[in-house]
Amino acid sequence: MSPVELPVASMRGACIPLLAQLGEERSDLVALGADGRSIFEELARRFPDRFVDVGIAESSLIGVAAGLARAGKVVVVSAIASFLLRRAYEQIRVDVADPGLPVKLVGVGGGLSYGTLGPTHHMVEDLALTRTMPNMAVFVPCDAFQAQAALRAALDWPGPAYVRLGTGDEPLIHRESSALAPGEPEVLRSGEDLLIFATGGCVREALQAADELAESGLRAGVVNVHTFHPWRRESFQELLDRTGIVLAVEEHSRVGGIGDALAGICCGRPVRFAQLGIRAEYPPVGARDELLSFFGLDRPAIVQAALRLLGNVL
Amino acid sequence: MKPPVSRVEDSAPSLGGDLGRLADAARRIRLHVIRMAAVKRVHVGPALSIVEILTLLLCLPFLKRQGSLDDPRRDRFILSKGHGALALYGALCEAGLLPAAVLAGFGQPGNPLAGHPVCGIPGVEVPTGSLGHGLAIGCGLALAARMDDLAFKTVVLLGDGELGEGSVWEAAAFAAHQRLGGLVAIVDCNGCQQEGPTREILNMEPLEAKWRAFGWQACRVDGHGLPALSEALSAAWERRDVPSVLIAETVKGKGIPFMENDPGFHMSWLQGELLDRALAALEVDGDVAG
Repeated sequence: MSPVELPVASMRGACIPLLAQLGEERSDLVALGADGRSIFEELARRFPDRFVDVGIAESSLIGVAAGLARAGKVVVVSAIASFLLRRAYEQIRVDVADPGLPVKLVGVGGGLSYGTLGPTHHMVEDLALTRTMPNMAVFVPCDAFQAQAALRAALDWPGPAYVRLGTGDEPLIHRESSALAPGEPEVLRSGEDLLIFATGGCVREALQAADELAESGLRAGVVNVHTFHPWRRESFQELLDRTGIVLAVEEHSRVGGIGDALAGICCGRPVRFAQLGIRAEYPPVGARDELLSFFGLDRPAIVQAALRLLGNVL
Repeated sequence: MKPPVSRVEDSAPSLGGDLGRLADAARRIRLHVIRMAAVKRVHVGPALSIVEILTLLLCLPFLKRQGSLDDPRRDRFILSKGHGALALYGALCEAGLLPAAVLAGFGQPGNPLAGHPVCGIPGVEVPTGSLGHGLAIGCGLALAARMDDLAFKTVVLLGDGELGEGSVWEAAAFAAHQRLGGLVAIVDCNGCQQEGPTREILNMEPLEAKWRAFGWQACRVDGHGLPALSEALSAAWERRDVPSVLIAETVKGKGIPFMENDPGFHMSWLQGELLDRALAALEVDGDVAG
């Protein structure tokens, strides 16, 4: 059976009207771009005095945001995720995260979503970098609807927050935008034999893998992990204990992402656990789907890993 | 864009008859630095070069607190060269913003004063320690002032060695592009960084030309001469159309002759004879507790 094609939408596109609406709701909201203003186009049109483009200067972007936040503003900044977090890491850590300032970082093009643009534009360690920062909420929406919910949750969070967006049109997992419960795992599909925990673009792959496993009579549940901090450990523990067989799948380095986070909970529990993630290797030129296959994160790879895990106990 | 609101209290203060009082304050700030350097190994030389600058900013004071330290109209100060912390602590104490008891407890368990101005120290607006961060934060504060029609000034004190950080120049370009007239930068040009003369390690001269080329109002001034420094600060205070920078010619270790221009005193722990000599230079007997 070929997987069902889902309707698609852009996370960034979904955030454009929401940012304008948030600007309407909060007079203290200020937005900064670094030669990337498309996500702010509606906000900037409606509130031209509350948007500033700092140019191609990510370190300056974060420093200016920190200064604005110290003067009482809630600041939304957006840039390509790899430049934002790698170039300005120290400014984010020291000037924003340590003092807990309300600067909301929106990283565009998380994971492998920039595909053929090459590894300078891939961002596969953003969760590891942001999870280790004090005060920082970390959201990884899996589709355009959830991107809206994540952005709103980031604004509601009192301190700094990071939101990982993809780029271009991506499949819609949800049918509407509904509030996101920060820190809670989102069970998209229940299953008694195995639970697949997935993030971002891998959620679609996990759902399709679960479909394929169902054809063999295997009931695989799929859990979307949309938040890394805050993190409701008890909720995750409960889910792990329910099936005892767990596969983590992420469009992120194997180090510091969902696999590591879940392994930490599995430790000392009777859970059979495996993780799929991105190994530290220079990738070939390829579109996102090709790169997911290269790193063993696509539907067939997830099915294979699930069968291996189940085979060990059947 | 609306012009900043102008208020009487925003005008620059006048040195007037305060020279003697301020020279005394500067001497006491140096004494605070030396006393802290007697407790443990700390940055001494880079603190001593900024004493007169901090004296004018905090003790004259150029920086107005308005109603309180929470007042949104207050002027802001960022010690971007965070390793000048000891002079900042001394100046905050002389300005009545940091209790003398806190200063006296430097280095003791539970004391909040770190080797760099960390979060939570009374009077410290922005914690610093990693170089190259302060000017961009100052840009954000100056931008917020303009957005909110507030006339407060933001002053950022940088080291000349710090100018090697590229992020300084990102912020310099931004400030000029945005015409942030509320922003004043001061470069503590002591010509001497940790490993030796700045001109030999990474020569950033000619500094005035560089800042002017970026769009700043720039002037060079004696960073230890209170009248000259006060005049230059006043001129910067009055500029509202572009950001201003003072290239303050200073001496690392200023005021303690055996430390002056010696990179060996970038960090030091003053004990025994060294301590006695330093105190003697400030015309104080060897009583450290004094």
